[in-house]
Amino acid sequence: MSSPVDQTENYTFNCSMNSSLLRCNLISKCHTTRARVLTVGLPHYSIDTPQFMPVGTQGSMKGITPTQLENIGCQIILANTYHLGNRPGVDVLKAAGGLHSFMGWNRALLTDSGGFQMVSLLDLSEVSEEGVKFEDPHRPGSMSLLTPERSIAIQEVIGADIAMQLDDVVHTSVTGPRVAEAMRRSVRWLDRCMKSHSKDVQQVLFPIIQGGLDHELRDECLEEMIRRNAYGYAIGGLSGGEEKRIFWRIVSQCTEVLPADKPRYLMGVGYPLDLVICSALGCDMFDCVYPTRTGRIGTALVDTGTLDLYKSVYKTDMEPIDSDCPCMTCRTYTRAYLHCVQSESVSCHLVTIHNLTYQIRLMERIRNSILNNCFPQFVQEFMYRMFADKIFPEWVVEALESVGIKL
Amino acid sequence: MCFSVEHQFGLHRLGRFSLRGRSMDTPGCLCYTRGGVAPHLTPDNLSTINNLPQVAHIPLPNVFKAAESIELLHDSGDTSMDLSSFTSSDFSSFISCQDLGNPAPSGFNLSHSVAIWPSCGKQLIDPGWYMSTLGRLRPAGFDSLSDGGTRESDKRKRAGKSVARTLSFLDACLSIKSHNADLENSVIFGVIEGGFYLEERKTSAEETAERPVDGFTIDALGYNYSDTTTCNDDSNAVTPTFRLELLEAVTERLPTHKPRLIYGFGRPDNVIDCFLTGVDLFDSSYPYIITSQARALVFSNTEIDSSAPEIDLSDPQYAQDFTPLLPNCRCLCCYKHVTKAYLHHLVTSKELLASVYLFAHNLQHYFEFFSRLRIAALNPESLNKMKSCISQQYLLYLSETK
Repeated sequence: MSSPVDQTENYTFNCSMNSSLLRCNLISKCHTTRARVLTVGLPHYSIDTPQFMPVGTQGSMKGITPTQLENIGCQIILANTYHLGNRPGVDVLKAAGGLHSFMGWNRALLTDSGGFQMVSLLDLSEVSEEGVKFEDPHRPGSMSLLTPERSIAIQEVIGADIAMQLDDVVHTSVTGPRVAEAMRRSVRWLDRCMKSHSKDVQQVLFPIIQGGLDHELRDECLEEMIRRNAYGYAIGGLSGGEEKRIFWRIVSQCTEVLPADKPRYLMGVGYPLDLVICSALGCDMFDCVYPTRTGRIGTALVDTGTLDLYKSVYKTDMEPIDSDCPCMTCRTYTRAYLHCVQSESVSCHLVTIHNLTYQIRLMERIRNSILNNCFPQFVQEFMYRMFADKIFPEWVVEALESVGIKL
Repeated sequence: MCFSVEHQFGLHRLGRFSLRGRSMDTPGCLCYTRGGVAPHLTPDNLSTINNLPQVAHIPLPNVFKAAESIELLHDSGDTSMDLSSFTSSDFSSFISCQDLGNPAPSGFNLSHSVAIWPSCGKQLIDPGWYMSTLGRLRPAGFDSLSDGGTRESDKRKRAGKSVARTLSFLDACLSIKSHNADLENSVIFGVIEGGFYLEERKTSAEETAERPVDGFTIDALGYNYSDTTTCNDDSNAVTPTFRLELLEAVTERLPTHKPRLIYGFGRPDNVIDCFLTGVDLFDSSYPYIITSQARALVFSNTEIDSSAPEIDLSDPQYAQDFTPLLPNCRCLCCYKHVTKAYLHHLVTSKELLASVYLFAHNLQHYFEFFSRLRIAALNPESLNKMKSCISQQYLLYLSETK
């Protein structure tokens, strides 16, 4: 007979793993889908998964203080190595004793490697076996090189709880031999990252599964990287505008194979719909700029979709954004007021606070439903609210069906 | 009566200003707002500020959209809505027609209307429109409509016009107010204009004092936050001393028992000078403007040391300065050990959080200054000491930055 859902299991680790750096415990598993609730103990904080990580690119969450983030229930945030490496730079971060201390954030931090930003933000960047060659925007005309070793060194100074390997990432629209080349190089770069990663730093390193939209390449990458026996794994190279029906299949392929006793971080995802579905597919950690970026332009997140508060239809709407939402914005202000104050920076903060609360609460609702053994029901209700006409996108139906939920 | 004098010492005095159940001690400043709320600070952050004045200063141009929405709500039957309920505000509100945080370009006022600059673009407003809008917003207090478009370099004729127009606007506003039940419980301040001409200022003060107003706003005498002194038509250099002469000529013509509010004198040394010349209330747009320039107020209320009263966080000297803005400051920025290095990073990275932290600090420090001023004013010796301390810091600072 099935055992109680809320049984805590301690997975045994390979003896080379240092459990003071990352301690992963299974709290509950959904009986139908692949969703599960974990606690992941990290050096600065223990996080509950599935979890959403807001993005604080330049060492600050746009307009929101660390105290406000804590009050929202945020447990872990992401910062970008590329931006921080430029400004304030490694010297300042070292002198400050790391990013936690520099920005006054006491909970968990994750840094990306800097590679993706370089390739996507810079006009002149070139990938070779050595690393990513780029024209430093602060020193035009001269090329700098970001190697796996250098990325790790910067991330060590930043001092996040979780660092990401430098990967050779290609856009999902790229096809042909470049995809395989990038995946295999990412494996080689993973080895270089792991080799140069200091044992003395209170930080774990996550590999990033690449292989584009090719199932075989993904399989190869999964096999190689799992063999390296990391503390957790990221699924990268997605969320680039690819077709959703391929997207979910790649995610599912990865979660099927990745070890169950380690957290899975799906990079760059995403919108509330994606969070629900990818939790069902067995992902544990997510990050996305969406709630903060869209909050700053007055778009509020709700279960039925979004409210574009700057539109004139909200001029006299005296309801809060969401009457079920416990955030400060919804407890204090109306949609009409937020519409009227749109030219002030305060409106950015107020909508951002709501959006972050929404996403973080969504993850809490997901976890609670898993713990109460009613996650499939939660998913169905969520979908019915989001798609009031009951016309569900094909990929949503397929993805959920693959893990036992029929809409 | 919205004001009572607690102690009168010669020209200056300690008092208490109350509007619709919200009181504050004077000398004090109204809390500058944008869109009906404090700039940059969400309610949780705002609540960390000590000595927060309970009267909000609401410039009409930046609640224009709110006024439109309230009008629509009234049209659809919800006549109970006013500005305070629309903005979920606990403060009582005092409305002025211009926004000191966004100084308006001059030269656009006409003989029967005044130009204001909401985000949708220039609007010409007359007393009729102004009062009917106020009737919908139902503030606890407001300035009469005024022509404050006089610059230091303007001719005497222009200054004379500002006085005449403003008096005519005042009479119109008073008349409309007496017939508008929505404004029955609002107090109205008469506005003293006259540019930088002594006789015009005297006339404005005397004439306004004869009207049944509840207080006085002294307008268009301030700095707009630049210290340049230029000559007016009479070839009087508009020096700080000259401004105070004009101010004194005004305050000595105003009844003692009514409050005096001044615009454009927010820098602490100027505040003390105006206070000594008989002013009770100030606006708090100064910390807002300082913040927008990435500056922090770090002056001392008690000691003169070699450091500047204000610092510019964009200066690279702070890149590795891991000290807080002020050692014993309890603002949400300093109290959480936010360092100058981090603020410098936020400022150079153009992060929104820079303004949140800087403004919280600047407000806290500014209100603390007023609180100390009220205590120091209890006896002449401590008041002189504080005046000398603050003015010396600024004197040194201004001579260095020239």
